[in-house]
Amino acid sequence: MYEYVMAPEQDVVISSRVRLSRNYEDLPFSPKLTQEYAEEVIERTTEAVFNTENGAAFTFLRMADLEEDARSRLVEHHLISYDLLKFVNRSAAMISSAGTVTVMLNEEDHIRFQGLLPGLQLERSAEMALKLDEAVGEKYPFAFDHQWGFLAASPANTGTGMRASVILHLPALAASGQMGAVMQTIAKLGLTVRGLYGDGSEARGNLYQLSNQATLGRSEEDVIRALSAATGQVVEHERNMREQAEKKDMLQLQDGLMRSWGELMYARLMNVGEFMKRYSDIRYAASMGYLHAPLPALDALMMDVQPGSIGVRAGKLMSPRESEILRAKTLREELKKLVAE
Amino acid sequence: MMCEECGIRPANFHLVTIINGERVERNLCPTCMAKHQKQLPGIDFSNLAGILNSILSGNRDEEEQAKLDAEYEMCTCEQCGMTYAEFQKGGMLGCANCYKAFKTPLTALLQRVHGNTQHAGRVPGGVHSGTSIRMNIDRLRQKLQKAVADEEYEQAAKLRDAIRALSIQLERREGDIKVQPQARLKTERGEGNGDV
Ligand SMILES: [Zn+2]
Ligand SMILES: [Zn+2]
Repeated sequence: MYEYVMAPEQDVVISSRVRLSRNYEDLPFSPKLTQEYAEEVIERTTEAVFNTENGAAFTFLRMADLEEDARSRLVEHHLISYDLLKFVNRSAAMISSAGTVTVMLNEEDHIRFQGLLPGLQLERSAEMALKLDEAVGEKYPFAFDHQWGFLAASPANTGTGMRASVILHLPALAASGQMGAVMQTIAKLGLTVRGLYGDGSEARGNLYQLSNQATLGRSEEDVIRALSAATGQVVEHERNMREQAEKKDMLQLQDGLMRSWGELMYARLMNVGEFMKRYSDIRYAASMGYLHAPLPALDALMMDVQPGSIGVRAGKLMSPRESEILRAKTLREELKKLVAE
Repeated sequence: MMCEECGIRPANFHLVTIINGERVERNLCPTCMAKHQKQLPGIDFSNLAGILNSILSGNRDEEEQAKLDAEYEMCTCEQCGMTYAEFQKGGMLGCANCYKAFKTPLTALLQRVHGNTQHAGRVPGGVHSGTSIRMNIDRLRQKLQKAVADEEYEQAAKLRDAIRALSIQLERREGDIKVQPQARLKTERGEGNGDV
């Protein structure tokens, strides 16, 4: 028997993430970063991070040492950014054992500190990233200017260097056709919303990412507070729409959502596109109590059957058809375990 | 960062459009940017400067920025050797000193991208964020005194505005701290895995 901890607002918020861009003041930035300097970034940062209180919890990975599927798996689990793979020859990552803290090295900036937690926990995610940032910055000073804040390779990140974001599951809002209005309201607040996969209007799995746009002129706390408040409003909106859908015709809602459960339990071939639709349905059903499957487990499974992750599970290169077979098989087995509890 | 339109290619462009008086900002890859290009004829997308100048603006600073960009094109950072033209192409600076070397055009650029040119967050060592605002107010006050002494009244007026804006920011910050946000939770509050 497993134990699952529900994080705050997890019926709608899948995860909260905060990233901080930092550069060492005496080393050249990305466009001028030679292999030698990149090594210096790795040496300094690993030394500083391993020597922090929880330093022993970190695993160091050079991107060049990983197979393609293993790299994709890290992106799919949000442990590293896709951009880190743009610089495979020099980039590396330090990942905490719980996966909640990551240090990306030699991406667009020398360092990207990341805090990642389930549900709506932006403050704690920021705390974790900032704590590590302080520890490293104390040993080796970061590029900083009193007018412009922390200097990033791209001026778009200069200031706090902080990008905070939440991943939201919005099936009822999307079905109601109100996403356009929600997106407009959010844009007015200086925040960006976009589909997590696929383009804005047709988000795969009804997953949306909400994040801050500007990094200069507002404090970290202000930004976190504004994003948390906006997220709270979207959460309320989504819950209202779910309630309304249930009131309108509960049986029809259940019928539509639970059919996806049937598909997942018996399908023999499953591509990612179809899976994301079914996942959205069963997550929705679970949040309404129609299906007794823990949300954290559904989210973990969702990441585990993404293309790179399923490849890692196979431990070998697969054809697209082999991937679909293994994805369908994995889903049947894992979902059966979930409801058996 | 991934393109917000297709979600599969890295976003190299930051697109800001003004729709019905509202700023809509998006990060796009070159391919999706090209699609928008069709709807916005007469704009040169061959480099970052083109985008920054033509789309970002939607305001009257456009010409001024173009002039600055042209003026600084040949400017080089003596520390890392990056030229301003190189930065315009790639969108990334070469070292911390580039921010000094290209200070004038970057100030205009930061204003456009962030709507602000004054850091209000933490300073190294985790000192509380209000500190950096206060330090800047002090700095500007000194400049103001000098401007008044030198009878540079136009400059003094600008500095006064900047000081006022910062003071409001500082007050708002300190006012905010007293009001704790109310967390309204339906789900059971879990601990998550806060520790590493
Ligand atoms: Zn695109
Ligand atoms: Zn430079």
